[in-house]
Amino acid sequence: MDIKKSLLVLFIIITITFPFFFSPKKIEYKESNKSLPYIQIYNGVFKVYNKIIEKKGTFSQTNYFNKNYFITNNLDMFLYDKNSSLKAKKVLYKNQYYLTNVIYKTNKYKYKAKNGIYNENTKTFIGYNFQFFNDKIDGKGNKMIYKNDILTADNIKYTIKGIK
Amino acid sequence: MKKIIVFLLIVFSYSANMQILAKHFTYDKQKNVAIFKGDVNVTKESDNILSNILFVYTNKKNKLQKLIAIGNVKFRVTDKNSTYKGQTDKLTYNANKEIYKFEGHAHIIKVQDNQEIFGNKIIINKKTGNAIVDSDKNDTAPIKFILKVKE
Repeated sequence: MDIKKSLLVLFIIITITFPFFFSPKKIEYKESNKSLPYIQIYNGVFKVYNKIIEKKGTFSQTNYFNKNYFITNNLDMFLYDKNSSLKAKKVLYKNQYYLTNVIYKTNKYKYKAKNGIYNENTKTFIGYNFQFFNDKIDGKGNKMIYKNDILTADNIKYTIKGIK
Repeated sequence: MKKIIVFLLIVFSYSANMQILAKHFTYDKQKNVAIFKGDVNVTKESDNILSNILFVYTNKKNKLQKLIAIGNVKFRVTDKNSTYKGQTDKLTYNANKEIYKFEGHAHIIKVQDNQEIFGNKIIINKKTGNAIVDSDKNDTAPIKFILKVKE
């Protein structure tokens, strides 16, 4: 192979690989729509912020089936108006959040549930196989509903700790 | 540090947990009241209260303030030296003063000597062990004591 051919091959290789040298390391996708707040997907981390709710999460897989339907892992939400937070291992969002291994935290109690549903509009949290607790109270049961600062539950085992 | 641990152990050794079982539960965060309905069963050490409805009032620091049991109330409570069992329409327990108040068709049996008290308002002070039997001004129902004397 003569020098001209070698240079041509080298030129082709450099031309093909050129974009990789200069493309940004972080690939960023942006998506927004009217019903959901601004959504940003960024190297396995998504963030949503609209001054009412801040959502973030690292995830191994996130699929947008359409604009109002997504699955993600390790959701971490902060609800500014209620000063409460919601964390869940696996999440399916379709109008409301369907959650597994969920921790919902308010200024009064910390709620843990094996499965749960959170509705953003009505600010209602439903927990199944739940436990709620603070330093003095511990409650366990099958199903609980928390809405408008009122908690209801069925078949509860409620413990008040440290009474003289 | 050791002193703190010993102190904490002593404090916790003198406190107990109160367990409540019920079919339905409601907690109102604004009013700081928990309402239990349906086969309510309260247990604290040897004390036991059964009722249809139970209200549990706590303060902002989640400390128990008051218990009110209503409807078909059956109980077994202990004070310093005595154990009382019986039934009433309404039982109120003031956690700060450690006072039990039994209202409406109260019938209390002192387990140790089988003394029986009937009245519409009976108050037992858990700290002192004193029992006060009272009746309302408009109440005409008599107060009845049954003392069993050994022959």
